[in-house]
Amino acid sequence: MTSRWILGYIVAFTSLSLVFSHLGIIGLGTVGLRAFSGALAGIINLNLYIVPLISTITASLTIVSEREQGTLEFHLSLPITKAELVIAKTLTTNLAIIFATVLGYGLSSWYMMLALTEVDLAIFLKILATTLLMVFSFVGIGIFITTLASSRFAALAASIALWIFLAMVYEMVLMMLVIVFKLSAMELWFFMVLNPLEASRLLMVYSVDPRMTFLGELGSFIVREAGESFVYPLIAIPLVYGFAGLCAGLYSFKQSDL
Amino acid sequence: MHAVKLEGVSKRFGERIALDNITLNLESGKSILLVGTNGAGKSTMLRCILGIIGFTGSITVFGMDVRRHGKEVRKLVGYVPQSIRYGEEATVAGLVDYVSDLKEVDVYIEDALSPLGLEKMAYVKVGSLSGGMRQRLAISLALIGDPQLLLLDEPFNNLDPMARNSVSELLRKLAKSGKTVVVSVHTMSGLIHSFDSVAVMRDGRLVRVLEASEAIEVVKPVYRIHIRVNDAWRTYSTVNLFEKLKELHGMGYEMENAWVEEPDAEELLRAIGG
Repeated sequence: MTSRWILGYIVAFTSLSLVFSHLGIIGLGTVGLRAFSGALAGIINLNLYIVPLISTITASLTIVSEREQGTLEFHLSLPITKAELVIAKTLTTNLAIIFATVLGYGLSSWYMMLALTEVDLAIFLKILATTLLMVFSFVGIGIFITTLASSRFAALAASIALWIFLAMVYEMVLMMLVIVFKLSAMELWFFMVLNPLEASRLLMVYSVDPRMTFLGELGSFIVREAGESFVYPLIAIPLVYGFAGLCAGLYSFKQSDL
Repeated sequence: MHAVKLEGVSKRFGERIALDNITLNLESGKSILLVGTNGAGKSTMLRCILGIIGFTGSITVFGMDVRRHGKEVRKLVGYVPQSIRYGEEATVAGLVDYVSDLKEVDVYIEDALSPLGLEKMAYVKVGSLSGGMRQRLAISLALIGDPQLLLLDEPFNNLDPMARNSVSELLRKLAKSGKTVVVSVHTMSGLIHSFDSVAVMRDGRLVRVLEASEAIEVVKPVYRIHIRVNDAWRTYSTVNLFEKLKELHGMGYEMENAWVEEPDAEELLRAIGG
């Protein structure tokens, strides 16, 4: 079941990133944009939608599938603790998705070698690192879901609902908060960064544009107020979500029966 | 020495009481049948002994608290669950490797599988095994690492009478070889004749623990073996199930289609006034 999700992810991610790379490269010379920028914008958006979704879904199906299929009792009857089982599931899910992601990036970067400069390559690697951070954070969240879910259907529904909230609804809620409560720029930044997906997006923007001018007034304000240190929370938040999800998953699994 | 010691063990699933203040000592090297109707709490008790579900009270296995030392306890225990499920894509040999790795023992795949006649199935996927073969595989996996304590939950499920005979013979050998063997059954399995004692359960309570000879005395079990011969059924009654099965097999009867009618837990409960 999980391997089918991973295979689907490999195919979707690799082919889409190759398509974006290709479109970026053919844009070179025709509309005057650098090939890399076009490809990069596509890949960043692809990352922000597909990586959290697949990481959460895959992790959220790990333990609940074993429970539903009745294989959990077999594993737990052997000399392995519940904590070891959760950590093993977390590690293998992380590794599988990281492998698939690196494969997708590897193929598209190989294709873009035609157009990449050394600076571009560094940016590309920073975005890859941010993506892996995002994988870690959403796998942690998925692990928490899998220990709580009563069925695979419930786990899948919870993962998709969470993804819709973080990828689409969260920004609308923030906009509403800005209008209703007249949030300051710093408060808005704080709430943006609380969302691990948003934190990852900002980190990717920073990789391309360290002065954050893509974000307009807000970006310039944050860079001016916080200097380079604004980057640290962007790295810390996905890590915190990953570890917190894992710890919450460990706790809830320990409290649960088979 | 106590192999297993339960003191005031209770377990609830929501409003339902699955185990109600059970106190029971199992001596090392002894064999015991847990007999009870469905829902009596037999499986729950075995899972508590393994430390894989929570409970109140205390359980020690070979002197170790299962809550604190669950992993160490499970190294010494072989367990056959009632509902046997493995990943359908796993091979039999893959499962043997997995279990022996976790138990930190070296085993030859053939040695692990031959006692129950599965050696030719080593590279077959679990998904293609029949119910009876899965049952035999579960018992083979439980025996990996030569565990000191065996917990078997309804080990005769899905077995035809002759396969059941070979499993019984193996269990009797293990019981006599000094292992502590706990087998849960819902009928008065023929094993009662070679086990030391019988614990009778009902609705999560331990009704009584009897010597096996005492249980045989009160129930006087008679087993009826039904065999299909051509288009008709023939019935044979016996007090010694395993000998009779062997005899009928020796006479050339097809035992795959046979079934055994035996006194169930209700009869034992009635006989002891439980």
